[in-house]
Amino acid sequence: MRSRRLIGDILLYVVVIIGFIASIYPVYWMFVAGTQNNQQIFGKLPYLWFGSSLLQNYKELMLNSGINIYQAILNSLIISLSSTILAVISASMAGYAFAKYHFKLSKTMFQIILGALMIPPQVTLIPLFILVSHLGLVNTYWAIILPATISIFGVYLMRQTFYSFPAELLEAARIDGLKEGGIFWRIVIPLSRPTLSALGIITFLASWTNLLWPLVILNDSSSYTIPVALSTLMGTQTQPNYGMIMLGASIATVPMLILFLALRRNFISGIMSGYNR
Amino acid sequence: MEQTVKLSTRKKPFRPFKRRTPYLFLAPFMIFFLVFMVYPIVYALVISFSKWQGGSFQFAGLFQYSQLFQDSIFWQSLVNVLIVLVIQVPIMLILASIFAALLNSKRLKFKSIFQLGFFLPLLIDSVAYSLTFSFIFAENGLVNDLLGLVGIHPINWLLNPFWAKIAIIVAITWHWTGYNIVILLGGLQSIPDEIYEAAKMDGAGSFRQWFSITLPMLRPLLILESVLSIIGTIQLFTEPFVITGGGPGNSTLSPVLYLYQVGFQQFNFSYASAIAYALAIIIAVFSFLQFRLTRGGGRDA
Amino acid sequence: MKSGKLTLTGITVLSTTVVATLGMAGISSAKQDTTQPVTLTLMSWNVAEATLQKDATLYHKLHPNVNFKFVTIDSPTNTYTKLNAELAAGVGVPDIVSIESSQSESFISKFPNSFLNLTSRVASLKKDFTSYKWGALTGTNNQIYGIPWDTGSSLLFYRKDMFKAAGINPNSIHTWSQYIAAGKKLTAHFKGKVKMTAGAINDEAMLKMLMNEQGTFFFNQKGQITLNSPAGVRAVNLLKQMYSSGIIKQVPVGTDWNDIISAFVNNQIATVPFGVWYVGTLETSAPTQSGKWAVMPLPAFTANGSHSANLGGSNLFISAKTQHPNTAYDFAKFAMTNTNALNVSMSYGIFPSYVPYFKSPMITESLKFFGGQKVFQIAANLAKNITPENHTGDYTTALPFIRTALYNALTNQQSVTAALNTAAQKIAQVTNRQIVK
Repeated sequence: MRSRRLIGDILLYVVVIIGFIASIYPVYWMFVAGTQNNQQIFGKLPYLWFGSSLLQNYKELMLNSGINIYQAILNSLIISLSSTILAVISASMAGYAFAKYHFKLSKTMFQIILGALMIPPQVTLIPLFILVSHLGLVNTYWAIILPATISIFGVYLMRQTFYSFPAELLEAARIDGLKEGGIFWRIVIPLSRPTLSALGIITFLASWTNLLWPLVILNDSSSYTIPVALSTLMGTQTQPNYGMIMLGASIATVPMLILFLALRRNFISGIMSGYNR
Repeated sequence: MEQTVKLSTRKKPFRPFKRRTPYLFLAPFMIFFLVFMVYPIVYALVISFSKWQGGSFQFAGLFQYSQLFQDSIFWQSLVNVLIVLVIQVPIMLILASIFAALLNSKRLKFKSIFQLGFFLPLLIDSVAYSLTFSFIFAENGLVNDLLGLVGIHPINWLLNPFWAKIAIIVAITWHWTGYNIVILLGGLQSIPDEIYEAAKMDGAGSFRQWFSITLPMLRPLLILESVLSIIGTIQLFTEPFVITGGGPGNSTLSPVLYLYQVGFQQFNFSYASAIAYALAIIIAVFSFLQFRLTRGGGRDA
Repeated sequence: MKSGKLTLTGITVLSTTVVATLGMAGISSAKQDTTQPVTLTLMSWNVAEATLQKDATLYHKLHPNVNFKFVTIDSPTNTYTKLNAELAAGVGVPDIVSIESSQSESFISKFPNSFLNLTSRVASLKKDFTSYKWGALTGTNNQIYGIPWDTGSSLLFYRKDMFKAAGINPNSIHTWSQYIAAGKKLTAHFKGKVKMTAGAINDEAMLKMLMNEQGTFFFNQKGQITLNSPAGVRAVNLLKQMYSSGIIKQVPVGTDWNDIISAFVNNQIATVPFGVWYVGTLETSAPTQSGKWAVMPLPAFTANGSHSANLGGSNLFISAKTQHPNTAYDFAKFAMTNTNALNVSMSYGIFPSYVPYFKSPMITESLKFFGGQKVFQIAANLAKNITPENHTGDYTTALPFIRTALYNALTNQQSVTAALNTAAQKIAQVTNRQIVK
């Protein structure tokens, strides 16, 4: 019985470790390849350790790649943060209205909003392209931020959250003479922080990794977000330096890793909030 | 939760607030929603019934849709993603279930480190990891080197329609399995220990327990995961865009990549809008199936 | 189309009218162009943009009242995306923009009133450019909307050292069948480690050169479909022969440009058939191979067949809404014909199509990288005999079908004729063009 248990334990660890290595190895390889030259990356044997071309790759990334990776990180941060803040604020306000007020067409409006969730984002790609061009916003932060402020899922999530918000608290506040806006900002919002941060994280992640829309609407390398900037790295006139491309990808990954380590708990609960509805 | 919902609707609240208050709360969202969502959705439909001619859109009836119906490239792109999802989604969910169960095991130590590892792929930008996989699967890339170590002849991954699809499938599976593990772990942790205790009393082994308790409890989550994965796969873009460019031939072309090419390389906005609406209908069908399935699965959410 | 005209975007019409009116005002005051301070906006991609920047500096020295603002885009594709957005919206269109020949007619036909009609302005220049360039700049109304820039006169770049090692006499290669025979010999000599050339199976570049060499293209001068003409069938049959004889190193289509470079850098291929613009790519990517390369004209189909073909090339267009049409045209003409400006072009590997310039020392010089060969002179001589390729306004629409046909024919999923016929029918169906019988 004990030996069976031991075998079971060994099996458990072996399988978990295999999965663990499969998960982290490509990331490790990406970082390692960023320090290698083409011969090492495509060499006969898989090179497992850091190479000596880091400085060369870095120099090429900064001088010849046609992109500025730090500018791209900055652009991505500005765009993702702004759209996340706007999305969380507007979605929680709307969710609050639907949860706590009775007004005309409340149900119909909510159903129309939910109905739009069924329509894939690609449908709006062409009209948005025309619309944003008309507004003269091509190559601006606003071109990405404005459409990303709509979080239908956010409205839904916040409505569910606010439903369970104790009505007594609201009424007590009203009796104390607080106005509706004051109740929302000073009582409801501070008490809903966990859900808000969860919503913030998933909105941020979605904005951070979005490729298609920025690819279409940003054509000036100084306005590129990280995904767009990385996607142009392969398009060189002369022989591509694959190590330089991997170094760019590695650098672009760092902010998200830092963010994750700083906000680990919120990340997990953010992702779960998408499911526990 | 159900309780409070009913309470708040049943009790007519006293109304110290002005009539316009709820609308003010709604306004920011609704303005964005109308301008950047409703208007484009309607406009896309209008464009899809038109044709660009002589510098403006002209009404063209069902022209684009009849073109689409006969467009073998579009159908192939659909078949491509269907093949990918039929293979990829089950493999990913099986892997996710296995690893979620193992990570939840009381006998496993260093759980948080392992969980961190499984979560890592999710934090890598999709273009960054697609670039990585395109190099890993190159002719002299890592995968062929590793195959060579065990005596397998190198495979021309990106030159062969079958292997190119496999490369895409491996890439997506790598990226998304961890995500599904996190969700399933959440589900597993919400199963009360007492149920397992009771099962143990009845003499059920760990495999029996897994099939008769764990799996049924996870079923709603698994259904939801599979539907979201299916919808996500139908909208596949970044991986074929970066790894294969849709090739070889059109063997890894996805509908959204095709939409991008039609819309922004050929600049045929009308046809691209028709593709987008066809995609919307297909996704709606899958969402409808989800609705039926989840009801069948006993979910009341 | 009985339902008549339906304008779907009120905004487009409105803004177009407003800006058009402003544009008219600009034209009426155009005479003052030469003295008033003028700022021109230019949009172009990487190398082309760098060239125009230097041209602008030269121009500014001659005309201090003219200043320039540049919009830098990283690739032609992204330039077109931005230009399309601006043209569709009628907002922010640059005064001058560069467009490749393959896309020029698409833009002219999609946005018929958006580019300045240059017909009378370029009338005196017409004979000075390689004649084939004008086709792509001419609308269906026979009006000219652009000024030609560079030519993609094609050459066969080859490795002298590899040919010598394999016992191949480059002077014996005149036809494609001799090329294939040489390829087999070379591949056998190097035991498959070196191939004749590299390419992606559904890349249209080779097909374009092979059809153009035979005096035709995907479309004829009337805009009818000639993809499945005997010339097209011959071209694809030849490609099929090349692929099946194993002399081509296959690369994935998404990364073919990079992979071909890697192939020659790593000594895996002995020839590259491409436009003269590839000189720069060879020189900068493989400096250590200096002296090992040489060029010859593309092989022909028959012993006395043509060796001239075009691949690529761009042009300059002026917005119809520019406030300064005369200055814009004057600068464009300067950049495309002035010797100093064209020297700048050459220094960036952009080979002009302005024939008087072909006598310039930069064209007649010997290139060290190519063992002292007068590469540009050879390209210039070939350029004069290039037949015009008609891309038509439907080139981008036709391309996916052409690539599919190539893939199906070269992977034996369809016969060459069947694959080309299918593609031609699809193109006919989508574009309403006729297939030449």
